[in-house]
Amino acid sequence: MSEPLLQVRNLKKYFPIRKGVMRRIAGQVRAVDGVSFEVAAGETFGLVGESGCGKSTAGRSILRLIEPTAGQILFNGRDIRKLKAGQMRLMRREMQIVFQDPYASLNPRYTVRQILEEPMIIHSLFDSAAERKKRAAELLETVGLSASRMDRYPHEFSGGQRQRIGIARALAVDPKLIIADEPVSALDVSVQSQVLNLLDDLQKQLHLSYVFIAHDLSVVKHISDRIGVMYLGQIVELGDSDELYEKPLHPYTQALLSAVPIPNPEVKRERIILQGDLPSPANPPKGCYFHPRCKDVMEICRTQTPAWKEVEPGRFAACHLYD
Amino acid sequence: MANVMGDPPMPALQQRLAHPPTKVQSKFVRVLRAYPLVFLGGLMVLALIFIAVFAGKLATFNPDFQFANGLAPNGAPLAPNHTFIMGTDDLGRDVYSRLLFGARVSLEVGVFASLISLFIGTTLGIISGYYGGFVDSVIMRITDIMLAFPFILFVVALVAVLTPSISNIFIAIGVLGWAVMARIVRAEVMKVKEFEYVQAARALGSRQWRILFRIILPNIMAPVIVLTTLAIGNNMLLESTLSYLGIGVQPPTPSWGSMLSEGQQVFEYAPWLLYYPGLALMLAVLGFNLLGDGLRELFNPRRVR
Repeated sequence: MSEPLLQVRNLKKYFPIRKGVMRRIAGQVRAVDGVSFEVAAGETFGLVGESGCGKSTAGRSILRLIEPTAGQILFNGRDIRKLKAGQMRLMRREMQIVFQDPYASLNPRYTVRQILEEPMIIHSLFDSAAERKKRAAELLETVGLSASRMDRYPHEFSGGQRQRIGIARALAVDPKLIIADEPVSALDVSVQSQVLNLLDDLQKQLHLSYVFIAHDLSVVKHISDRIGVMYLGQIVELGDSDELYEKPLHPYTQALLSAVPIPNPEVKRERIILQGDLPSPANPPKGCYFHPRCKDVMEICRTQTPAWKEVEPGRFAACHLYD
Repeated sequence: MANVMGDPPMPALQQRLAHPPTKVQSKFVRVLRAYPLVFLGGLMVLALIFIAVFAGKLATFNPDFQFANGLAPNGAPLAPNHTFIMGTDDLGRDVYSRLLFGARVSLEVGVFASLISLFIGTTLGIISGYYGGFVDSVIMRITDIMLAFPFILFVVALVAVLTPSISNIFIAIGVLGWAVMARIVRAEVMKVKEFEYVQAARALGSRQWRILFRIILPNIMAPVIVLTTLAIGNNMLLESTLSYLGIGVQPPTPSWGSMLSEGQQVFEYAPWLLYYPGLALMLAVLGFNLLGDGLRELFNPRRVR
């Protein structure tokens, strides 16, 4: 495999908890606590986990929408955390984001055309307004919307159509990588598959790479080549999408997968129901973060943090079961 | 469609729509129907502007001229009559003409003071709300101090230092009255900046000024416009207060506040000297308040659709 497009190494984002009149720092919320993964060109990397596990924070930290606390983000081998403001602005043409809520992600005061032309104006991509308009029309056609509707406002479109507009905006600068932050979880199930297929088609046409963030496992399996499972700010398991679904290694992944509904009432299977609540990321448990809820908990889990290791070729997990 | 059986004759479709298409109305019309008082407020404000602009044409006399026949033989003001339709004041001047020119002063002070407050308040509010942290703390503490002072006393002190004149009055009111605006703008900015379309603009590499003025500012304008409209009415009232206290517009320039103050001394036998400026002031402020309340409804997406 050649040099991966995106390498994330030990990414951390801690949010300070401030208290009192002097706003001194009383603690830290470890939203993202040492996340590492790679995304090859043309690949889709899925990031799953329950809400609050830090997957969205991780996605936004990669784009520096939230400034990471520590770690390296290498895009084509360059650490984007070291870029100056002007270089970073250029880099933003390479990596874009599609948001979860199609109602909040489009400026209600702009027409669709203005929304799509905005990125071209920011990066001075075209000289004339006519060229920009032509490109906006092309973008709309690319995502399956009629260019004749480009002078309308976002509220005149449905949720699925708005999400297509959001995708078109991300494509306006010809990015190589798109971070899709739960792009379909706000949509109806019937519309979800349309948008997923669109993302799939675009990937083939434009040779895009995706970091696909979601909590819906069936959606992630459908679209991803490789998957990372996050728990409390850390990746606990990483591997090829099909293999990970077939034989999950980490007890947390096993529990997650057992919760996916199977559309066949004849199939009986054991459900692993997680006990207790998600611990606070401000005060994570000692040892393995998952041990208070783990069905296979051992003595060592309570005291020692499990190491990240390759359990099988291409399959990684952080769990004492595989020591 | 090929049909071997032959299509039965289609009965004419009987349609009854829940919302007949003729009833499609613009949002403007719907708002007017739901809140007719907006319309009234708007008319009152328009009337006030008309009077202020054309005071010179509408007035029957020079507002500052002391008529020899404007006083009764015993020196008392004249009651409303054919020549002086709202009577005369204790110096023999025409109340009607003075009232029209007074509208000019009131509106001028109300509008310019509010614009100054708008400019200062919006600028500080945006900076405070967007950047947060230390800058925010400093600006908000200054705002707290401004709000803690008795406002009128503050204005009186500043006007006294600057020497009373129309421009100094609106400068004083405007420079001191931005605190409420700054707070509201700050709260709105803090809300809007978390929206994903602002994050999207950042992800696209927008410069900060572009995010602040092209994206955030248009999305916080609704409450700002409402507040400014209400502030114009308030500031008109404040000008009258200052003129009434004698540190506002200086004689002989007519102002509703100073007319009230002068009329008060002869109120017992010339009550019209209080009725007319009092009524004018009330209607003007009411007009701006109705308009402002109406605009608030108009900008509220949940109320009228």
